[in-house]
Amino acid sequence: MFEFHSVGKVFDDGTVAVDGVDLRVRRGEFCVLLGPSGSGKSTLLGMVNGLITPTSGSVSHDGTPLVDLNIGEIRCKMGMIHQQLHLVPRLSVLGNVLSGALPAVSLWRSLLGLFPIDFMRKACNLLQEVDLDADHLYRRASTLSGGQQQRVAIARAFMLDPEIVLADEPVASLDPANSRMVLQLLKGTSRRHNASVLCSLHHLELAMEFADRVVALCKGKVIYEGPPSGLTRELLDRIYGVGLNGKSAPADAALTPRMETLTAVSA
Amino acid sequence: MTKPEKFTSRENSGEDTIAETWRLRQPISAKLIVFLLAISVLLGLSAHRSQMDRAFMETLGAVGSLFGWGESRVIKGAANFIGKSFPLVLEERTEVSRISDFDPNDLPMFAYLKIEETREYDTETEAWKIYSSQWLINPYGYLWRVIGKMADTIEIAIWGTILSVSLALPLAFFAAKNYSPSKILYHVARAICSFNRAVPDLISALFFVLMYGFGPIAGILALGFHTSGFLGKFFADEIENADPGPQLALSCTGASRLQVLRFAVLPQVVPQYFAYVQYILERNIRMATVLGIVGAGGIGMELKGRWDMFNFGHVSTILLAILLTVLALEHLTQWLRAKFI
Ligand SMILES: Nc1ncnc2c1ncn2[C@@H]1O[C@H](COP(=O)(O)OP(=O)(O)OP(=O)(O)O)[C@@H](O)[C@H]1O
Ligand SMILES: [Mg+2]
Repeated sequence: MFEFHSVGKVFDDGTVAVDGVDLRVRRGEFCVLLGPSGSGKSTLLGMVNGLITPTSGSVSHDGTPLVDLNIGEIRCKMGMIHQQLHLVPRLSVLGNVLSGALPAVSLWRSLLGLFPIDFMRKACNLLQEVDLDADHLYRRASTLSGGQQQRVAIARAFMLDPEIVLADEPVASLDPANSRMVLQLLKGTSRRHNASVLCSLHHLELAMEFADRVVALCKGKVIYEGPPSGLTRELLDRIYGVGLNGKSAPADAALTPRMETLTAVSA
Repeated sequence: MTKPEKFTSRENSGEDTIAETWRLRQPISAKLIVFLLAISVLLGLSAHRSQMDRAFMETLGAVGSLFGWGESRVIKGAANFIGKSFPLVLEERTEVSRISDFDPNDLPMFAYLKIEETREYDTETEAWKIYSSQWLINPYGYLWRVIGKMADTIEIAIWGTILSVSLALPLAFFAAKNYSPSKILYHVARAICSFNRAVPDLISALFFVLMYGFGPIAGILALGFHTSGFLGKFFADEIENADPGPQLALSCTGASRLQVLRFAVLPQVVPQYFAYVQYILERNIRMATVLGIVGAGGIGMELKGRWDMFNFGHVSTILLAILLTVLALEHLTQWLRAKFI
């Protein structure tokens, strides 16, 4: 499984994006990252799939630090779902889903676009799981609605039976009804394939509804980790700033000590 | 003018309007005026050197003479050509005595024989001498010849374009910064593209004629190399500008760079590639009609020969054929594009 050991990331410009995060994603769980904009959610996710290398601590897979592993191999063990959908617009739905299996296809086959029939079947099954039918198979991804596109992205992420699916604000560009459906499909699919999900969300309600476990980040630090029911009003105020009205964020000096006690408690 | 100053002044006098505190740029600055003046002086000097003043006067004279004021050599020149260009020559005449194995009972289609008499005044005998010669007239012979040459020309353009695309695709891979295997190869590929673009095809055709002799090979090579410079650059730029999102998504799944290129870049760039190739094909057809002038095959060779012999009737047939072909092909490629993309 994937584990963070006091992981920190300081960007070249001095921004401390992630600061001493310890986290363990358990097999099969739906783990939601909460936190205001700039709290380091994307950075944390990026460190799992090797887009970003931590400046301190390490991310490890089954006990081996990622830096000692082949990045291509490790990426086959995870799926990724992005906020901006990131499907290939002019490729068919089927093509998009199949492209999730590229590492497992030989180079010449993939260059010719000749995927083995097993993969085709699997792609169809996955599309069915996310409620898309045969009519959609050969439609261009760009002709689908946002919700449908995100479902295609889910299918793509599960092509190689990942251990973990990373989702960075997967529903941020969708309306509430679609968001709920997409998350339901994501959760259902991950259950069936016994994959864990590490998912950052902006919507508190959705997080409460779907998360098995919530990890709340603030300024790069974990300030809460536990079941969604444990998120108290007071904690939320700390995460998102007092009052949730966006007018005033609490001063750093006032927040930091409390945050430290909290991380100590949760660790 | 530093920021703090700006802010304090705003705090001190609350009723300052934004226009007073924020520094707005003048739409027309002194710099711009000086720049425009300098440009116009330079253009003025250059206009005289390139005879733009004479062009203006002569054109004015030409328009005047059309309305009956004075004479114009521009109009005379045009009238001279136009007068000699009509009627268009469509027929082909061959003197029968020059045809070996001539069989009057087996004439080509539509062809007929004609006997022509020419008189010549003999100063010694002081009498007219009459020569009679028999001609085989093929009424559409020349038209067919031009059509055949036009087909050659189009074939030259098509093969030139095929060569160009097959050179440009690998060049583009190396010349795209985000996919080039190494920085050196990137610069080499970009340099090849610039070089190919920099050498005009009319000039490289001259050299290819020296190497491969007269005929279509020289034309195809010249077109192929010259336009591969354009296509290579366009293709590479297109790869560089492709939406990075899908590429990131695919590389996150662990796909190799070539696979990402194939699945996340290629589908995105294909429509533009077709547009570029269509443009290059059209351009090559236009250019192939001219390349023959330096001996690189196609209708240009015929044009040059006829022009040098002042056969303006033939020349205008050729020009009309070129015009019609280019127009027709432009419509054809547009139709193809609309249909398949
Ligand atoms: N490439 C980078 N270079 C410098 N700073 C960066 C870079 N990427 C992110 N940051 C900074 O790191 C911090 C955390 O960014 P991150 O994108 O992880 O936040 P986030 O929680 O995902 O925010 P959001 O909810 O808005 O997506 C921010 O302050 C951001 O400005
Ligand atoms: Mg983010």
